[in-house]
Amino acid sequence: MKKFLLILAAVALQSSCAFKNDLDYPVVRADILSVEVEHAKSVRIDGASRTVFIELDERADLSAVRLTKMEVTEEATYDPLPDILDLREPFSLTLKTWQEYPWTLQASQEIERYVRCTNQIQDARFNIEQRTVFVYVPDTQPLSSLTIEAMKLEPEGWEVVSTTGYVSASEHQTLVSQSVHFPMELDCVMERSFEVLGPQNEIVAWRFKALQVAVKMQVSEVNPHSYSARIRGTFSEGATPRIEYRKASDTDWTTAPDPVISGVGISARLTGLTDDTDYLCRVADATGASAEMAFHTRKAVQPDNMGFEDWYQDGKVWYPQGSTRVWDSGNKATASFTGSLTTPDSSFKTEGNYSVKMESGFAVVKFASASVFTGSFVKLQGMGALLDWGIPFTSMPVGLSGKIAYQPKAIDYADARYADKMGQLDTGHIVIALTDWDEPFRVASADEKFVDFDNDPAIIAYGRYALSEATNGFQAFHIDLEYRSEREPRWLVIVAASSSLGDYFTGAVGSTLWLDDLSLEYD
Amino acid sequence: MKRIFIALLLGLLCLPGQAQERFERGFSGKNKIFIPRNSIGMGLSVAFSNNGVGDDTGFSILPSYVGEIKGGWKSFAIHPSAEYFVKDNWSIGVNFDFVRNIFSLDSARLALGETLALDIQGWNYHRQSYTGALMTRYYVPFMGSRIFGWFVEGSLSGGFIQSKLYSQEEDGLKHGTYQENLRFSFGLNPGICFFVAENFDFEVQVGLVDLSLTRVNQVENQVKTSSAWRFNASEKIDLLSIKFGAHAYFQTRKKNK
Repeated sequence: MKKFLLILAAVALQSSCAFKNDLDYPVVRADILSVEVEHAKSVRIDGASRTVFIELDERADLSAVRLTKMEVTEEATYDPLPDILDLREPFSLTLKTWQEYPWTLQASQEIERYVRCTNQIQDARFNIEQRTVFVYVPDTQPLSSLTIEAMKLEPEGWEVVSTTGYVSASEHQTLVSQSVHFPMELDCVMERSFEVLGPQNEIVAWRFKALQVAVKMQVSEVNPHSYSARIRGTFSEGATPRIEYRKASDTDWTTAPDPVISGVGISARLTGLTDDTDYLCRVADATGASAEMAFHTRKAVQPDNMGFEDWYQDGKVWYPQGSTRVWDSGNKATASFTGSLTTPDSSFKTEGNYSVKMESGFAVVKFASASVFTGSFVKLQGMGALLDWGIPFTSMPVGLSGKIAYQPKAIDYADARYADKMGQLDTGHIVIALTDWDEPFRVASADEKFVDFDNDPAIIAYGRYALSEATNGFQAFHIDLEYRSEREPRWLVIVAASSSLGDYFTGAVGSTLWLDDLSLEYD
Repeated sequence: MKRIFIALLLGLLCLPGQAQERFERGFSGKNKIFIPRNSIGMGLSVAFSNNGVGDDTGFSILPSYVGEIKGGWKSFAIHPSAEYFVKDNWSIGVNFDFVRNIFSLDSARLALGETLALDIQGWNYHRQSYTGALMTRYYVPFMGSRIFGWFVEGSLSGGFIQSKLYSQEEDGLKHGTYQENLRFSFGLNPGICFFVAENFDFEVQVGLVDLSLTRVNQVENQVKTSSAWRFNASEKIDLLSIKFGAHAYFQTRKKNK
C-alpha cells in the first residue's frame, strides 16, 4: 500500500507541472505616420529612434505649438494630447498596441541672427541668454567709425529700431540714442545697445561689443576633392594677397587663379589637380608667405566591373562578377522558379561584350523585380531574401553617369498599398548613395526592411535616376550626387531595378532595364 | 390473427432449445478461474526518453534535402492503475495516464533545389495530457490456461490536454498557438496477458471501440481565440493505441469460494 501511495504522490507531482500559456502577444509595431503643427518648416519621422523631429520656423513659439493633426498606425492608440504642446523640451508620448512604444516629439527652431560690418573678420558671436553680440574686426579697423551694414537679432517680424551708445566728441563722451537705418556708421569704441521691437510691441535690448583682432597671414581651411580643392585663408591688410600651391614633390609654386578676397579673407578653388597626390598650399603677398599647409587629394576610385563585362554562371544563376565581388543580384532567389532575371546581354550593348539586362518576372507566388546592386546576396528568408547593400568605399564622387535603356510594361501586379498603380507604365530606376553605416545595410525583403534614402542620417550623398517611358535604344544618363554632409563615406550603394516598386511586389512582368558603361564622376 | 402469428414465431424460436442440451462456451466453472475474486491488481508503466541531434554542424537526413538539423525531443509517460476483482475474472478499477512530450527544432534547412532552400529556426512543440478513467475488465483464460489469458476492458475516461506550438526567433518572443482540450471517451478494448510469475503478468491491449467527445480551445498569441467540438466514433483496430503494461496481483485475506 505504501508503494501505491508513493506512486500516487509521484503522479500528483507531475500533475502540478501543467505549463502556462506563456506565448507572447503579437508584435504590432505602433508608428507615428504623420504630424502637422503650426509653423512647421519640416517634419521628419525617424522610426528607428521613434522620434519625430519638427523644425519650426522663426514665427513659432516653442512653448506653445499648436498640434493640428497626428496620424498613427491603424491598430495603435494613445492618450489624448493637448492641442497646444510645450516643445521647449522633448515631448514624450506612448503609443499602445499589444506593446507600448514610447515616442518623442522633438522640436528645433533656428533663428537666423547676424551682424554684418565692414571689414568683419568672422561671423558675429551671439550669447543668446545674455542678449549680447560680439563682432570681430581687424586691428586696422578703427572702432570709432565702424560701418554696420545689416543686423538681425530676433526672429522674423522683429525689427531693430534704435541704438544707444557713447559718442566721443573732443574730450567728452556723450550718450546718444538714435533710430537705426542700415547701413550706418557708429562709434563702437564703447559697448552699445540695440533695441529690437517685436510684433506685440515688446522691446528687447541687445548689447553690442566690437573687438579688434590681430590678423596674420595663414591658410585656415582646405577641402580637397580628387581633382580640385577649395582653399581659405586670411591676410593682413596692405599688400595684395594670393594663394599658391604645388605638389609636395615639386619645387615651383603655382598661383591660384581668380581668388575671392573679402575683408581680410581670401579663398580660391584649385582645379586640374591629380588625384591621390600630396600637395602644399599657402597664402602669400609681396612681403612674404604664410606657413604651408599640406593636403592629399582623394583617390578617384572606379569599382570593378562598371561596364558589366565580367560574368559567370553557376547552374541557373548568373553572377555579375569577375575576379572581385562588387555586384550581385537577386538571381539566387528566383533562379529555381524562373531562372535568372538579371543576365548579361551580348546583343544589346554600347561598348564591350555585354550590358546587364534586368527583366521583371513572376516567381511562382510573387512578382519579382530584377535588380543589380553593389553588395552581396546573403540568403533566402521566408518568402523574401536577405541582401547586404554596400561595398567599402571612401572616395567622394560628384555623380554617376552611364548608358541606360528601358522597355516598361503596364503594371500587372500590385501590392494593396499600390493598387492605384495597376495599369500604369512601370518605372525603372538607378539609385546611388554614399553612407557611413558601420556595416553593409542588411535588406530583409520579407520584413520590408529597406534603406530609407530620405531619412537615414547615415546617408552622406544621394542621387536617383528614374525612367517611366520606353527609350529609343541606349541613352546617356547622369546623376548628380547631392551631398547632405561633409563626413567621409564608408560604403557605396548603387542599385538598379527594372521595377522601382519591386520591393513591394509591384510592377510589370516583362519590364526590362539595361545598363552599360557606368562611371563615377569626380571633380 | 396477430396473436396466432406471434405464438408461432415464439414456438419456432424455442424448438431448437428444447431439442438440444443447453449450449455453454465454458466461460464459467471452477477450473476457468484466471484471477480469483477479491484479488487486487496494481499496474504501473513508466516511459522516458531524451534525444538530441546536431550538436555541431547539424544532423542530416536525406542529405541532399534536409540538413543542419539541431534540436531534440523528450517524452515522459506514467500510467498507474488499480483494480479490484468483485467476482472471479471480473474487476473494476481506476487508472491514470500522464504523458508529456517536448519537441524542439532549433534549426533545419530544407533544400529543394540548388538555390531554393527553406530555413526553419526555433520551432517548439509542447504537449501534455492527464487522463483519468473508471474501468472494468473481464478476463478469460486461454484454453484453460492459468498463464495465458485474454481480457476485454470497458472504460469511461476524462482527460485534459494542453499543448503549445510556437516559434522563438532572435527577438526572444514566442509566436504561436496554445491549445487546451477536454476529452471524454468510452472505450472497449481487448487485450492479452500472460503471467511470468505467480502474481505478475505482462499485457498487451489494443484499441477497438472508441467513442469520444473533445472540446478544443485555441488561443493564438493570447489574442485570437478559436474553439471546436469533435465527436469521434470508431470501431476498428487502432494500432496507435496499442498499450503494453505490467500488473501485479495480490490476494486479500478473504477466502475465495
